[in-house]
Amino acid sequence: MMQPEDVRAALVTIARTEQAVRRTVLRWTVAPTLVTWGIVWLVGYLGTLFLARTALTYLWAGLVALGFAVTFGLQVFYERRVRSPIGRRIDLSWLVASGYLALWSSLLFPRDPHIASFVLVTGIMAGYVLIGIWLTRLMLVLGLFVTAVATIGFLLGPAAFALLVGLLGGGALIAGGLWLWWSGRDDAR
Amino acid sequence: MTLDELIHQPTRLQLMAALAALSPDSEVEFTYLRDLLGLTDGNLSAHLLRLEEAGYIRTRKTFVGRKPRTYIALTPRGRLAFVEYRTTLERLLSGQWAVREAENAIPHADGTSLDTGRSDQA
Repeated sequence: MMQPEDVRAALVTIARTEQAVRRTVLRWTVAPTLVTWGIVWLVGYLGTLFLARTALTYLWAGLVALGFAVTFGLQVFYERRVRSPIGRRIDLSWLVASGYLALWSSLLFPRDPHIASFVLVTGIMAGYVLIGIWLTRLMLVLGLFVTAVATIGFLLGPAAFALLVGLLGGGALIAGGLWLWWSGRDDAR
Repeated sequence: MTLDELIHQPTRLQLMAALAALSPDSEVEFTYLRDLLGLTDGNLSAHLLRLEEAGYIRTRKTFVGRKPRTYIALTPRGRLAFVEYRTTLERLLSGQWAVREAENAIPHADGTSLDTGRSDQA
């Protein structure tokens, strides 16, 4: 005859295993991606404060290319261990959504990179908020925080925007990624 | 209500829970499961074999470069079995609680309830 304690223990085992799987996925996909894009934002936006327009174009092109290369490299690496059709669809959705946002913000505000940057940053953060609702609260918090920072920066002007989004926005992404990595350290590889 | 004894074994329960936690059609590499659950190769292989014989999982062997890799996925039958197992556990637990609460609600002849010994006539 099964005891209530046995039933509870089995349910706890299930819950713990599910949590371990979830943390492992976050640790090996979301965490390094956050750190990578945090570095891209930090370097890119701080570069905006110091570099000439031509140099900035090259800098951003290089950083974005690096960001996508690292993101997809990590995905390929992780897919050797966990193959998920949903994961691939999510990646593709991010690529399409980012491209769409970049295209429209540059077409709508070609002479005002300040507005275009604001639309791009807050658009991407809207994605974080949506993902955060069903994936992890950290993404939700990051999305709201960076949106608030970007809005304040936007109201204060281009230099403040670059400084705030670079330091606080990029910094928050890096910190969030490191926290995810750290919090999943006891679970498996 | 009967529990699926094949799934109820602790290691196989972890295996099924790990596979069920991923999206349908996902498959995981052998070493991923081994590391996640802290098992040895032999132990994991033995449990996977039992689950595969029951039709709960399927394995696929392939090569990535020159390295042989084994991927494991939950079958629709396995997913259903796990959902049923989990539902049975939850029903058992809620049923047992309901019985206990009913027992506690019936006062003893001396006016105390069954588990607390508290007097209801105080």
